[in-house]
Amino acid sequence: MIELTLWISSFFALMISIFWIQVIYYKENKYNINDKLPKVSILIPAYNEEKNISKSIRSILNLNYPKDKLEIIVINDNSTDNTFKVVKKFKQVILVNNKHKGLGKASALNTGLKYVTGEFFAVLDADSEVHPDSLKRIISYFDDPKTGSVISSIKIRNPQNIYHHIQRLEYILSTFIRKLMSKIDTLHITPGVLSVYRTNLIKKLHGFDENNITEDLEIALRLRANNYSVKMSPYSITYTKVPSNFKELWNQRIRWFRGFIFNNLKYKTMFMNKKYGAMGRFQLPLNALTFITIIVLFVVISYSVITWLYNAFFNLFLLKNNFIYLFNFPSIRELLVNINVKLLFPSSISLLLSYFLLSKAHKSMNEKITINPAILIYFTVYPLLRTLHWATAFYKEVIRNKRKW
Amino acid sequence: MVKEINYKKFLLISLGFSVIIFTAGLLLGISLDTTKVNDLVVNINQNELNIESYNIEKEFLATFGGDVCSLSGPRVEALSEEVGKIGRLLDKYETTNLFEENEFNYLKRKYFLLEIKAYSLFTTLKKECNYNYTTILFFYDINEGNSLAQGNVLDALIKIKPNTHIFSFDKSFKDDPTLETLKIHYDINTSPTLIINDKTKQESLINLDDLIELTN
Repeated sequence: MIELTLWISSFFALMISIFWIQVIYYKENKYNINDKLPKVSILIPAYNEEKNISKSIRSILNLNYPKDKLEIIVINDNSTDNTFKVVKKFKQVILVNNKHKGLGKASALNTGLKYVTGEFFAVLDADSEVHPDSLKRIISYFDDPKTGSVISSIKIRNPQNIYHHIQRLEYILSTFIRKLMSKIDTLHITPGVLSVYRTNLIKKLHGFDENNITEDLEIALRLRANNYSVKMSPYSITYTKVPSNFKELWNQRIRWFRGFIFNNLKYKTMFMNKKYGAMGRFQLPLNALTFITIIVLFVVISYSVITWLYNAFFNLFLLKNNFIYLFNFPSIRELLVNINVKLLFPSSISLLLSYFLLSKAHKSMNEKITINPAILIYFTVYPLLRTLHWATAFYKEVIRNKRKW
Repeated sequence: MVKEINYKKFLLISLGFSVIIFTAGLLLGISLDTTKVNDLVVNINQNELNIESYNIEKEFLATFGGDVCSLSGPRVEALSEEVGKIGRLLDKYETTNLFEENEFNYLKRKYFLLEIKAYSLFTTLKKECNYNYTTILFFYDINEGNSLAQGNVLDALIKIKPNTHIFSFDKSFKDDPTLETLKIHYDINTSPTLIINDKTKQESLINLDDLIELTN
């Protein structure tokens, strides 16, 4: 059973790796920076961000973009710290208070949206910073009238502990995959770290969903459901802060993955729907298949671990002090007989292709692969933790546990 | 306008390459399985030849005079060790091989017959030469957790009492009449079952301490 599961999942992983490798070499349209730049409003929702928000606002003020075409709106989302005072010092910023308490980021964004006067608006998390050229590059992607939103390349600024370093790798890979998705027009996420939208379009679609814990995924899927594209501007760099400990990471991932399950189900009518092209017939089925594979692997791995533990305790009970005798060093011949080439061969190729994708991802982000504890953890322990995140998120959705931000 | 990408073509190419890689892995695996099987067959044949050689030598000494017992001990011990090695290789083969059930059953049958032969030799040796060996027939069921646990207990026993020789048989294996005779002879109905020194029958899982006591 385990072998068959591994066999099927290896086949699936190999096929998807080959697919993305082909996309890497696909030449997409070139987008040139326009001379005529439209007005852009930057929305920064802030909840207790007194320590970070100044940097975030300064990075906007340093944007290589005409100042008269920039509008900064900070939405103070019922902060209990000095966020209001800190922002008040910036004369260029429109500061509004979100009167709705505890409704999350979507509610703050909708409040801010009422003050937007730009043709486009951007969402920027209060703990994020932007590269001076990011916005100009993003705007060029709106030449296509069917582009509803454009996102940036996210980097982690100054990773300090092991959690940061692991997430740095994760962001490099996910940003790279988003770039590839953008190429084949299946991108369906607009993260809070600088995503730009058409103002009229989002207003027409009634803003952000306030009953959603991942409003960034929901709005992107809604754009897709209305036949608008989400693009990525790979050279628009933004920097963000990420969870620093196990608990923060755990809570963030459970929220993301619950949002993923919930929103994919919400837009299930797009699934295999010809009307949505590659999005409906490739990306959403791929999402579902990935999710199913993770859950099946979780069940199979859990079963194996539980069986192994049960056997180990049972043997301990039967053998007592002589338990040590069970540890045999197999002979080279026994080891050779034990090798399952049917599984090992495609898995090795799959691993090589994964390494190739990883190196391409690093190259695309101007980063270098370094062999450090983070990379080892990322490829050994972290997949198990991610599987656990998915299983917990799935369980919480099944029992309809209350969704909270 | 955005250039339309032909994702279906990409998918087909990916599928094609994946099928080629998996087929290559499969063919490579099958050819290695064949090598492994051939290796096992050579080992089994070698063992059969060793048993035949031992029997002929014993017959020769009985006819022309000589000390059969001083020859037999080390020879039979070596035979038992070789049979054990074949068993371990077969066990590994079973856990890694997805296909070729017939081939595997054939090898398993040969292995069981070798074990019966080796067991007969040991029993004769014990009677004729008064050797102090402990022989254990172990009837297991491959799909049963208690059999697996009993196998582990027996592995530990060999390390504590090296003069113990274990002959293991799959209780549910139906393809060999000699093995069936053995099961009828010892009235084997359940697994795990142990026949210790041809006298004591143990019909349920037993821990190491109790087993040591039974074999003393």
